[in-house]
Amino acid sequence: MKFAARAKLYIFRFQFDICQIWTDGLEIKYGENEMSDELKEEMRKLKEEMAGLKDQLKDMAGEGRGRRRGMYIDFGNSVQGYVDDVMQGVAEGVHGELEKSIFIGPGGCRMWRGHRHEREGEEEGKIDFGQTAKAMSALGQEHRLKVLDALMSGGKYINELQEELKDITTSTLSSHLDVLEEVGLVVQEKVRGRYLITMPGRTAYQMARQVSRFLEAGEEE
Amino acid sequence: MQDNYELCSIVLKAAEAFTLHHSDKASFEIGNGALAVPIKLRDEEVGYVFLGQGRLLVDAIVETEEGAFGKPVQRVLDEPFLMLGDAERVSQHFSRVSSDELKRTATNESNL
Repeated sequence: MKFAARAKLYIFRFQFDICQIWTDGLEIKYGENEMSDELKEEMRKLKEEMAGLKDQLKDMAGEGRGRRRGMYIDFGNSVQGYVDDVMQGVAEGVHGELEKSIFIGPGGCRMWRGHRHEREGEEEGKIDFGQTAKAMSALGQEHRLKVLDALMSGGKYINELQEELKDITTSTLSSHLDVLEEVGLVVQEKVRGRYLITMPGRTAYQMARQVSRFLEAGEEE
Repeated sequence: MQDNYELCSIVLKAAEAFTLHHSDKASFEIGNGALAVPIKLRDEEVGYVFLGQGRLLVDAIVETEEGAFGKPVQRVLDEPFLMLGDAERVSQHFSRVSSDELKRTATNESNL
């Protein structure tokens, strides 16, 4: 269609004796025909290259016999995906819970009073003496405070803690970690084995730091 | 052409406990003596039906700037379950069970 339209235009122009333009048009036309052949050749080469790349891609994707047909599920990736989804859900849940129940300020974490009142059967200001005594007892040991201090910078494996706390033997360190874990100040990942300081653990550490500052200030006076 | 998964007529047994999947947050172990029946697709083993103890460990712990939250979760699976994929890697942990051995296993379980 384009060729016919252009031909009509050239004839039209010829009739109006614009020979030069018509000649230029022919030259361009001729040139375009030559380009077209070159393009065809280029296209053919490109197609060949693409076919080669597709074959390479198929080989790379189908390293496992089962995967070559793209039919099977990679079990590891499926489980990993599932776990990632679960963890994402847990993280979102925790974030939502934090937003509505805990106020985090410069002085540390504290319960939002309005939320605490919503809980049934809970009396304001009532302390679980047994649990609190256990937690404070766990804190009342120099080595355990040092363990919490070491964990404040992030989760650590026991050998990393051992490296950092050279004055504590491995067996003693393990028993201290057990005590801290029992009262919920520390949690151990069962898969990787790292120890992490928990939210109560961080709060307890901040409390210990406040006590330390208070005592230091008292000594100065 | 429609593909049909087929259950093989042979039964395999785990010679030792092994880890089926391991990542930073989760691990799944198959216990010693677990039974497995291969699943085939176009004459290729593509998965297994397992019967035996499996142990799933998930660290459902989230690290936040205010401390870690959550706890590790452990679950023992003793019901049949299905696995598709990675069949070649898994097959090395299993050996074929004779019908006599299967009968003995069934008898022992029924006596329990």
